[in-house]
Amino acid sequence: MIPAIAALEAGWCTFQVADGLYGIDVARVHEVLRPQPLTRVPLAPASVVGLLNLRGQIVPAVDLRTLFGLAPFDSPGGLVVVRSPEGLAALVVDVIGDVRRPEGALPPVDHGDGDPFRSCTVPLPDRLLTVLDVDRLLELAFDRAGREPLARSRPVVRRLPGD
Amino acid sequence: MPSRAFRMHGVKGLTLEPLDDSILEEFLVDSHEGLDRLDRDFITLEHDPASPEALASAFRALHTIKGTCSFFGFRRLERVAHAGEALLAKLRAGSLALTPEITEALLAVVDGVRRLLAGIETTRREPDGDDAVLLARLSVWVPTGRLARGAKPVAREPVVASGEPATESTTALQQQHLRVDVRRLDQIMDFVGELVLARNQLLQAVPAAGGSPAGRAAQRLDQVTTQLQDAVMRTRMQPVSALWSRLPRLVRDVASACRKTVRLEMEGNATELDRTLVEALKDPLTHLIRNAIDHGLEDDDARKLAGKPAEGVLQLRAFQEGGSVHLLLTDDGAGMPLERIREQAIARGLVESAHAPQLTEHDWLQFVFLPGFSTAKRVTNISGRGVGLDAARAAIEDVGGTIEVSTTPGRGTSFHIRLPLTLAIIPALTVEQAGECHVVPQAHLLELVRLGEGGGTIERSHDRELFRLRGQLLPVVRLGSVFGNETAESRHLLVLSAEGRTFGLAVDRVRDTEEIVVKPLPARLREGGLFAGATVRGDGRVALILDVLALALRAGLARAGSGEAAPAMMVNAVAEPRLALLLVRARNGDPAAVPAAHVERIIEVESSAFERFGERAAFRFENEVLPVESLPGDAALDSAAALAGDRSWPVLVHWRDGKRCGLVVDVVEDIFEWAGAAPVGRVVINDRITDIIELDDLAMREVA
Repeated sequence: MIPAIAALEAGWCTFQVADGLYGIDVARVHEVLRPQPLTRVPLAPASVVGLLNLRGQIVPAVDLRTLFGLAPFDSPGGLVVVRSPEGLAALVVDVIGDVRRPEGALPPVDHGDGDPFRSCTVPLPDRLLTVLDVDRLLELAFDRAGREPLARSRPVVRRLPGD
Repeated sequence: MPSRAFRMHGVKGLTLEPLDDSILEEFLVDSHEGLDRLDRDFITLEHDPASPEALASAFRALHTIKGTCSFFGFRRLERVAHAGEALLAKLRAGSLALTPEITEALLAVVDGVRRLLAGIETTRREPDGDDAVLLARLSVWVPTGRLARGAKPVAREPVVASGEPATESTTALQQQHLRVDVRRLDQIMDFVGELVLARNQLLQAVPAAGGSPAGRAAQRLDQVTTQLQDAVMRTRMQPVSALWSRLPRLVRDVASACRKTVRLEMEGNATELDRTLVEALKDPLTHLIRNAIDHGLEDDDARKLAGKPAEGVLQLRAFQEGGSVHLLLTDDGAGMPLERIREQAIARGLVESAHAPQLTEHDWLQFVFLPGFSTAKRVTNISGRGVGLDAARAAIEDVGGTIEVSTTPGRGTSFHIRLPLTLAIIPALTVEQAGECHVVPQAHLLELVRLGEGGGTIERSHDRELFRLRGQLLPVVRLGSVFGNETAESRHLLVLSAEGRTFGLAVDRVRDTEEIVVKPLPARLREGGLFAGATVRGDGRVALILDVLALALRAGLARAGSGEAAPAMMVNAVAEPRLALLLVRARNGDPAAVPAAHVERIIEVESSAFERFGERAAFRFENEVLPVESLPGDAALDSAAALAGDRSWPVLVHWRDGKRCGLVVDVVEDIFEWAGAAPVGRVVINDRITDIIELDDLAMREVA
């Protein structure tokens, strides 16, 4: 039922954002990187902080602090590159953590409170781990507020002199 | 399975799928190519039933498929292929002559093989069932009874009635080609990109001069890397014929289903484009062709009535120009029903009827690309359900292309697909804006102008910025204001052109030119953006490639200085409270302004092209005779003599009561954005008293 169950075998790749411990199913994690130079994308949604060159592939980076509505962090600890149906995306986090396994943890709790990012909470022996819903998170990160459903269609263009 | 024996040939660790699968994969790809060849051969045979080359080629293709089937143990496929092969053998031997029935039967074999292959492709094994119907059909000409029972595989049997070593020549040919997984090529491409970066860093670290051993090695590395990059790039290119090979069959099938005769003309077969584009174009092109035959071309009787030859012509042309690949699909049919598009668009509430007169033909045609929009009076199983053109456009735009349509009533419709050379190397100009680097494809660059000291100045007309370039006024876009990072000084102006629009792009400065590798943007960032792609610069950082067309649209639409022109606003541009006025001068020199939305087009007409037409002067334009009008201060143009002289006249073409008219002026000076309520009578624009011209009122005057 709870998506995190799938991760029970493998565990979660964890990282810290502000004072929270977050995790992503390791099966979804492509790799973890040290901070990279990013190229800003003008007019992109605020949480899409830039593009990085991952061995020749262009990957967008999402700043989790911005997405969570927190103040930006001046020295992010690294990037977690995740797989999604629309390709790779990198998440900018404060500190990269260990891979945590479910041993000793209590069963995950699905709060069902409509939290847009959290998939469930895993009570690890030492602290709570918030497991993120990667697809939902990316969807929200790239969503432009008020996108017009007709955005795909060509704008009606007036002609200019000399046209 | 014999696949074990092949395992040793694979390179472990690189393969993406189990090896037996990759052999099967190869067989499928091979077979599909063979089938495409068969389609072409049969169509050749329809015109030239005895063509020995086509017969031999078709025979070989089926024979190869059949031979490989027995290796995999695909019995059904083997039987069908064998029956087809046997029939072809008789045709080759001359003991049978090709009839339309035989062609149909052979095409049915091709389709049967294709169906089975599709089944194998999805389930990795041969689908259950039998092909009794198909085999029975063939049994009229060749004995298939024994085969239909499936007693034993026949692959090793000597080829019926064939003395030639047909298969040997194909194997020799195949040995020169190697099939490579595209994903592997992509990987190599990325590695080469990394190598280029490493080379660039090395070249910076090792001084080129001095001839030190390290320097020489670095230079050699430099050359080899460039050659390697070029070679890999070429590997990815495919001639457009890879895409076109199956079209003759498609056209034949659709045409016969619609009971029309259609001739397909193809030009530019050798035009190369990136492999990914070939894939991406398959579906849209198929759709456009179906549409063109089903709806574009009239049926034979209607064509005869219209004085056209009964055979409809579908023309496909491919060529490379200005850093893009162009595909033109033209039919000589009835053209798109503009009236019906208008009705539909208004009926569906896409346009308020009050705004309708402001839309140009070009604007109306955009509606055919909307989901669910169809003007077809009847829905056939081929097309007309209103799904498709939107999907075709989406597919083309997904690979960074554009599609435009133009139509002439009675003469036909033309689709123009423009594709970028994705993943190709293109020459580009790097520009800097507020410390950020962006890349502009040089194909769009007309010239470079220095601004400021000793250079040109950007002037302002109300809130629109313009630049005088040899007597022409260019609209100016400041990159900084679009991106919201304006700086104190723009030092360079790029004069850019995209799809006929010319404009100036002001940037902080131009850095350098270089050859860049175009990479696609991440899927989520592609929509509605101002970027055509991305590239990795020498220092390993990503730079964005500016979409010049998108910037041009912005230049024509958004006020200069506004950073936000959301797609929504562009779509509703007709409802925007701002009013664009065309500033013109009458023949007597008086300034006047015409609401631009009422003007369909501005054209230049030579003096000699005006003729006398009843009471007034007129000229021909797009197969219509347009009456001319003049501004209030000018003498009425009741004769062509008033326009005599060795010059051309700007004419504003507009619609009145469903007909086009042309307003002759002396000069079109500029476009002006009027804020607030629509002006009437006389207003002051640019310190000059200017008449506001209502085009509808002109009619009375001219007739009176």
